[in-house]
Amino acid sequence: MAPTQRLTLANDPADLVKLTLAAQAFLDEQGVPADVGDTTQLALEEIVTNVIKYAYDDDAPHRVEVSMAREDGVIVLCVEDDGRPFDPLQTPPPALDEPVEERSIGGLGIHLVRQLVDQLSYERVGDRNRVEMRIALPT
Amino acid sequence: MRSGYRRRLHPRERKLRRDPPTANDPHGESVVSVHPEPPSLDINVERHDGHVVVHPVGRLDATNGPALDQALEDVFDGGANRFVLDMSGIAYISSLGLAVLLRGAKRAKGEGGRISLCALQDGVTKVFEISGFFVLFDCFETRAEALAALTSPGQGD
Repeated sequence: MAPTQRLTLANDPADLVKLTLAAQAFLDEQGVPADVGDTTQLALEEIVTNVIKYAYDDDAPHRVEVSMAREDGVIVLCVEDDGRPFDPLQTPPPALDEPVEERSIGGLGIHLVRQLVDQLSYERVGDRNRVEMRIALPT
Repeated sequence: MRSGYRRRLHPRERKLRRDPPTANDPHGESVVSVHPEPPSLDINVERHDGHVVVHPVGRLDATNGPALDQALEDVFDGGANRFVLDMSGIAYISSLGLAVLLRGAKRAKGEGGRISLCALQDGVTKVFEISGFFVLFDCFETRAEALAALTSPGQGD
């Protein structure tokens, strides 16, 4: 079986540190090159941050499930949450040419993920969102 | 104890760190999972030729972004609205880090000032390109060039 690391996070920004550390441990263990490692960290941070910020209408605690695996030549990341349906492939691209005073930061995180990972897929399974990202390792 | 991101380490050394352990690196592997330390951001605020240089070292992410945000606010509140942000110590930036930089750029612009960036690493350059951030900032190779740009007329004046 492919080496896999799983962790469960609370929908609390304070838990992002746990994500960073778990991802770093996984990346170190797998000897992943620094640039692929940074893309992995970024993809996870952006998707999980988005879930924490926007997925829930209530104040109740929720669990966000994250897995990282190394398969044949590729890092496979998965983020699952039980929040409102959100397909990161369907968000409009942010306006990138506006001058500083009109520039908005909205949508940049998802835009970065879409540009940096090699494959991004989304499915709604029951009442859960499932985002899978694939990042190719150098051959 | 060792963390994934050691403090005050030159970025090039950081890359080397991810290589397999050697005789000179007796800590070896797997220390990260034993004593994980939160990846940190140290923020040095220096003065150079009468200008403020903000020099953050570490990760500019969701966890550490607020610290830089506060540091930039403090610089503005201290009366400086033209300063250099030396990015040489930042190998990783996420959208939360970009948000901090954008807030700084907006405030500088609003006050008729300017933030000059210098020494962007490859990973940050890539994120800037994808995010259209080179439109928002004057970026220079070296700190000296960034400082010189603060005193010369140009874009934004």
